[in-house]
Amino acid sequence: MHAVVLLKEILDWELPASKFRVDDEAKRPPLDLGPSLLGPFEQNALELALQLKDAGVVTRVTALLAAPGEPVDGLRKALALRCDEAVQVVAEGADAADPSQTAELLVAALRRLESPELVLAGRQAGDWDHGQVGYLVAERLGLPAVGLVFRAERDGDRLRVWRVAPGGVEQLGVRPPAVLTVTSDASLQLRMGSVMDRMAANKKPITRWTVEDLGLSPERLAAARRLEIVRTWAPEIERQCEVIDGDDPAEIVATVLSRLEELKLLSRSP
Amino acid sequence: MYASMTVALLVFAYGVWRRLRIWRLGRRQVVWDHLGARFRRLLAALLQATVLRRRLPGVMHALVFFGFLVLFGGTLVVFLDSDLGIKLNHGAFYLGFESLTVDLFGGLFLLGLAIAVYRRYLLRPWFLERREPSDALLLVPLLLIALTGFALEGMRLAVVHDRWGGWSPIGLAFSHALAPLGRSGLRSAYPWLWAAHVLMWHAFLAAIPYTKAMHWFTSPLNIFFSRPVAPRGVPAPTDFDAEPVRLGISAPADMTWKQLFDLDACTECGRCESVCPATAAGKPLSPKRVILDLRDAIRAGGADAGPLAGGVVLPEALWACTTCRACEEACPVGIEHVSTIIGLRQNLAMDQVVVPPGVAETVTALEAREHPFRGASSGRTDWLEGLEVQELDAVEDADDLEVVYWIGCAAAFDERAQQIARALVRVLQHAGVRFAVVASKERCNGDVARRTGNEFHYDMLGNANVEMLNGAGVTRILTHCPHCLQQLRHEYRRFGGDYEVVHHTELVASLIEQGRVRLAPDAGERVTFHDPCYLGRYNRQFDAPRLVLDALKVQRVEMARSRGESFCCGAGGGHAFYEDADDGEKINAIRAREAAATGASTVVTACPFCLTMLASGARAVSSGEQSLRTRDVVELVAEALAD
Ligand code: SF4
Ligand code: SF4
Repeated sequence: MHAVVLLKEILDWELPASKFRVDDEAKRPPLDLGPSLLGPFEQNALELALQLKDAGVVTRVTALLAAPGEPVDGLRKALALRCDEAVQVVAEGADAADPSQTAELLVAALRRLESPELVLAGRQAGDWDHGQVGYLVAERLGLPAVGLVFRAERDGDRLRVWRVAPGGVEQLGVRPPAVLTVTSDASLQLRMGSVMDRMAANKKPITRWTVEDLGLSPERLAAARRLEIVRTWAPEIERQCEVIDGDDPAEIVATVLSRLEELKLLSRSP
Repeated sequence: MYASMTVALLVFAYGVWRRLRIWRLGRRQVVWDHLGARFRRLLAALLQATVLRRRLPGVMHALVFFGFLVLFGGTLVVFLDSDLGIKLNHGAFYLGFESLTVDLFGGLFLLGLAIAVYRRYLLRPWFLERREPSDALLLVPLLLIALTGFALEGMRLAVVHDRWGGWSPIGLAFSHALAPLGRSGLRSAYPWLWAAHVLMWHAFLAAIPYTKAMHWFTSPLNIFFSRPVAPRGVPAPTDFDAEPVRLGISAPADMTWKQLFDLDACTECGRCESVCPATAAGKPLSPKRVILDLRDAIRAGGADAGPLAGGVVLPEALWACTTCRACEEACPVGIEHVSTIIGLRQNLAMDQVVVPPGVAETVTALEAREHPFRGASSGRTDWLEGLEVQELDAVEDADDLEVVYWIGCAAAFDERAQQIARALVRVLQHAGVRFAVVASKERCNGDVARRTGNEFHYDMLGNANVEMLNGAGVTRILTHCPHCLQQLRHEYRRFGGDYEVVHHTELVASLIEQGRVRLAPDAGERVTFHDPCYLGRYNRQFDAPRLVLDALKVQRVEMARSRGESFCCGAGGGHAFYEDADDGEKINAIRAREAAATGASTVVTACPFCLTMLASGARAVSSGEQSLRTRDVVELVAEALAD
């Protein structure tokens, strides 16, 4: 079975608040505020694909990423973790924040890839948190989609998948080809590769397809656009720090409690 | 006799050749630098200074060592005299050396052996596991050889009635004891006993390379070969351009010849294990076992022994090491455990990818953000807010600065450690020191990557830091972090970084001495100082922090283990960022209890990681009222600044 993992690089989500700002013109944070990193849920999806390969359920893993420029880190990382192939859709003229446009590009690339039977996506990209690309891809390819998956196993000609459901876990069977969106789980912490693999990955090629290569006309891409960002802003959070000093823990606790009462954040029942 | 001697020597030579073959498997390691220091250490060891640091076993060892040396000398004189005809044995020399001295030292030798038997079989300290029959095989023949030697001397005295017999008091005692056998009985027994004595000695000689006795040769050599000056405890670098790349230690050929030699120098004394914090905390690591397990596996398997990392030495053991170097400090024969342990870890981390939870995340974080703190909410320069400090970037000419302050990741991203940096800045400003901070241009020094075996990431960080510092023309660096100190002062030389680096305790001590820091201390607080491993054992700086404390007029008390024998806080070797197999007690709790036992109200240290570990250790062991404060030295200085 050939699995394709949809990847995305996003601005470091641990960027310190003091460094974060929004470019009012572009209505989004500038990308050079900090490092671009493979998103956390994409990491989980990649790990699940690799685990399925380790288990022999999947025989080939292709990493697919749509982004302008040369965001090779995520793809290099995928190769270093023994993905078989890495493909970038050079997404000039598309808005990475727009799920519909992104899905359009990815679907075109998936059609061109050799018979992918399993498509794994993160549940949502950690920057805009739309959580739509996986389902849009499934819809346009006419495939079933299961969301919020954190585990999968072979079950005859089907896959048994475990997904997070309200208040519990749901087990479903799904017959490939199918799309899974993957959520975080302790078991899906992205592995660390060996240095040998990493050095070998630097020598492996990354396939690059332009929009034209995929046979997408600029008009068609523009028509796929669904998102308009009206305004983006960082909420003002005012912080006031008050240090309560002291050596005696009991005394400190008493002071904290009375301060909280004064601030009307706490009331003690009589 | 000559025949048995020849056989013995041949067997001996074959044994040595077999050892030599293994040592020759190893990679190059230079051991001819710092010759003066190497000879001094060797001399101290031969004079038994190292072993005598422990009372009973030290005395035992010294007695056996000097006793044997003199007995051997005595035997040599007999050989030269009667076999080679070099007439030495007459007159005062005969009486003074060959009779009295040899006799008395023979007695001391016996006494030493008796202590060894007593300690090994009756006292039985926990770290001295008995390895039968090899221990008995060493002690019993030596005892027999010595006793038959005395018996022979006694027989001779009893038969010839030597009027100088008084010069061999112990021999004389034996002669009295043997007298009842009668002269003719003694006469006929003498050649048999003599033959037995000689044959036993030859057999023993032949057995040396196959038994623990080999350490008579390997130990002094190893002391000479082991690195006498800082930097110590540093892993052998990896050449990532080599074809094929050697990722840490998996097979004997991945070790340096000195690392292989170490294995044969071990006397199994257990001192390393008795001081190891991981062993003390019940973790599955004993430095002695690491050495002996490697030795046994390589003796059995030769060049093909392995896999050494993860096979011969288990991953849990390797990950438990804090790289504190207490084992190396305690080892009387100069064995360097730490570089081997990290070499093995390198193979686990870079090749097998067998790492405990936390290590992978830390390395990923290092790669993404160039610092190891996950979930940090502040940026590298946030702590500078409100302080009038200039950044290196803004400085025209770095030569105008007295020093460039390297903050380190701890103070940049850990709120508690930020207080150390702020305190140090206050002290520097008070003293009028011209300085700038590197701050925004810093990357992690790479210590955590290197000590967790991730040399690949370490290389990237080290190279980038050196390029930045050299580009800015930096030559003098100040740091409050002993791990940064170790990197900047020693380990960056490999990347072309050659700086004069001071630890803040060193700088503050000299500022106080120069009168640039004026103090108005409140006298009297009882404090104890915890020596950080990377400041003390790695950089031999024990005095500067104590000088500063004394200038603060505190009542300074020492813990049971301090200075070179300091007990690790548990953070080293990357442990600040990962949890290893959780067996037994936490290392920091053991240390905090030791600090509390001094009756001090504050435990002072000089490392941001020690500070965190001791603070949580203190919380774990505090009993309500008695809570131990934890402070960095410079925080106390900042509190006590005059005006
Ligand atoms: S360096 Fe420290 S923790 Fe590691 S083996 Fe030696 S004594 Fe034990
Ligand atoms: S390594 Fe050194 S301290 Fe440890 S048992 Fe061997 S000789 Fe003794």
